[in-house]
Amino acid sequence: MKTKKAADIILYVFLTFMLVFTFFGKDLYRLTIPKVVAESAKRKSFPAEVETPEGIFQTKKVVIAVPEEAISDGFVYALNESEQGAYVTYEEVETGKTDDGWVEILKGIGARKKVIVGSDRVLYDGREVIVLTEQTEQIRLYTEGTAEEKEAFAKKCKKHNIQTVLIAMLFAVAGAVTARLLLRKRLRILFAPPDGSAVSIALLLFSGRD
Amino acid sequence: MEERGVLLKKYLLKCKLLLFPSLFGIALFYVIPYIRVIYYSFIENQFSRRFVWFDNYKTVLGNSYFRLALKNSLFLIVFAVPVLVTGAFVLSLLLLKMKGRWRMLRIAFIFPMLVPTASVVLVWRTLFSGNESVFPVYFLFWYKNIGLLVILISAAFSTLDNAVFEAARLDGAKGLMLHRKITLPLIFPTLLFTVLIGVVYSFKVFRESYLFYGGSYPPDHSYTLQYYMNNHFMKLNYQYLASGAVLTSLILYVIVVVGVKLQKKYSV
Amino acid sequence: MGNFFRKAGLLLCAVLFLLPVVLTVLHSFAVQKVEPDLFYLESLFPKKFDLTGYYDLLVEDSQVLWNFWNSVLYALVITVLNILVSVPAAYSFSQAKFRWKEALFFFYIVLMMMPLQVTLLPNYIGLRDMKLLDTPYSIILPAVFAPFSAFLLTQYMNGLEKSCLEAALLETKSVTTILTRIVLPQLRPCILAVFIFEFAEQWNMVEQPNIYLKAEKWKPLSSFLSMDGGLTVSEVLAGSVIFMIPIVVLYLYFHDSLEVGLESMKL
Repeated sequence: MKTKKAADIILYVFLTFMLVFTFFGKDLYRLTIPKVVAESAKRKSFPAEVETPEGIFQTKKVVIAVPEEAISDGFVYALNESEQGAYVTYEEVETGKTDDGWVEILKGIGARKKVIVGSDRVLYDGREVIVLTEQTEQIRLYTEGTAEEKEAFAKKCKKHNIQTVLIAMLFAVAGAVTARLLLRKRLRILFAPPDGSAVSIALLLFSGRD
Repeated sequence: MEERGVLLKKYLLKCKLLLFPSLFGIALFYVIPYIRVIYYSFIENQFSRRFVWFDNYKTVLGNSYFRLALKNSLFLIVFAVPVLVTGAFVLSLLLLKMKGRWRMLRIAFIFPMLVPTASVVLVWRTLFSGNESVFPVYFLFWYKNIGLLVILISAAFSTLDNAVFEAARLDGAKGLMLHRKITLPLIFPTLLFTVLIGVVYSFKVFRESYLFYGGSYPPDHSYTLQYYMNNHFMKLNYQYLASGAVLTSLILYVIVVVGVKLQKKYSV
Repeated sequence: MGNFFRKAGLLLCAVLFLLPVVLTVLHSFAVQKVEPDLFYLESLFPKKFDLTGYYDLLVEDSQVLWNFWNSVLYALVITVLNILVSVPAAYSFSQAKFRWKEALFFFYIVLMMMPLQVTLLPNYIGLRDMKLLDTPYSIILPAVFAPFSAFLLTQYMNGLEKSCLEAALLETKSVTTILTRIVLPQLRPCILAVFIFEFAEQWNMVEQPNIYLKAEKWKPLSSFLSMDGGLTVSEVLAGSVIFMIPIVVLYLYFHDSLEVGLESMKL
């Protein structure tokens, strides 16, 4: 009888979990989608050196540039917007000079392509994102800091994701338990039939008992 | 009295009719298609439908992979099944006198029968990573099927009459001798049946092997008949598949008939 | 002293038997290496724990959950229909008298013993001719008529005391009354055993969906847990645990009936 009670509880919690995840998994997922800030790659005039027989001259030249924060280890996250939503792709770039917080892009992306400059979660190729129009305080720049800091940030994000889900699950289970308490009488036939187990009610139909 | 006889006849007729749904389904999904399978095994291919008699069978039997598969399947029967039955026998002997909480231990042996192989296969792969021999699949076979045999043998033990043992003890039989002269003959039919079940289930071990090796071409030593069938299924070679299926079913038919005959002979 | 060794041996065996299951559960909560081609665990015992597998599977990839419900649907529908077909068949085998009964029953036994690789092709051809391939019916229908339960129930019924039935036959000749009032209550443990056995059998199916179905949305969860299912190792582990739970629950409910029922599996 003890094992049957245990089975009842496991079944109840399990089914609640599965139902919640099946029907609200997508919503839970939306809670954990990274919110990002994007900036277009712009044409900017950069200081350049021109070498002539007369000597080296300082001039200006127009190049494609992205904010410094967008680049991490020679890669950028490029933003792709479609009707279904936005997602990022991980793209390799060749960089040139840096000037006033902007980095020259020699190869990899074109002008007007949007790149991610800040995200509150770790990104990866193909990750769905929500684009914010302006930078808010909670959006940390994922490129800031040393490798350890980045790793710590990644860990924090993951933890945050799981916490979000766990809290949502807690609500779900609390809801289920309340529902069960409220409907106790009506559910008793399901969860405590004469035989003491939930599934046996279905099998009572077979057994032809009164 | 006459009325009663009519009623009885009616009752028996209704009893016969109850078999109909099951028979109907089996005919529809197993028997009638199987006749088509036999037909397929005799034609050249689906499109020309030329009757070629036993050419397909010759090709299948001549195929080196089919022979390898046959050899491996036979080896599984010859080696793994006796070990399985012995193991189950020993386990049920150990369980024989256990009472109370210790009896619950049998749950552990029956459980693998139900646990989805797909679920635990990762652990098995890790456990046997780097193992090149055929043993991983044998282990999976034993792990999966020993529970059922333990149930069957334990059931046979529980039907043994204690009085027989008492009488034997009074006659001076002891320990192993007692088991050999009394226990073994009494549960011999059951043991035969477990052997039969083991042989039959050895043909069903494909799923475990397939999940374990994760592909259509395992190492040569584990390439069994079922791989042959499965790979032809993927290519939809009906005629070879059909002749393979007919051959396999013939082999199993012979095994079952012999097994059942043997068992009937000893169970009296 | 002998008893001590016996118990120790048994305990050791039991631990070994449960070890793969326990390890799977432990690993599902552990950090796994992300290497797509390697389908192994890093070590036999997990070192670091987190919930990424569950997060990835349940929240990010929650499409797979519909496949879980497919599994539930298939297993339940097949098992219930199978029992509904098999109980009358078993009753018929043990009660009716007709000429080819023995031969027919032997045919059931042979069919039951056939491995999947033999029955898959006839099933496939039958389904193809009825244009049922690529629909859920292709999974459900052949399995509903699988002869194992009819065999087990017949054997169990043959092993029952006949006196009750004979007494009832003096009172009534109604098949329904006898079936529901007399036979079914007696059959209960065996029906439960068949229920859990068939449920597990269908729950674990891999080959049939891979061959009969092309649309991912109709596949059961079991066909995603193998290597070519397109899930990462941590997702597979989390999925495995989720996949195991219903079976564990069923086993907790019915383990005693399962033993009683399967004991009648003899010729």
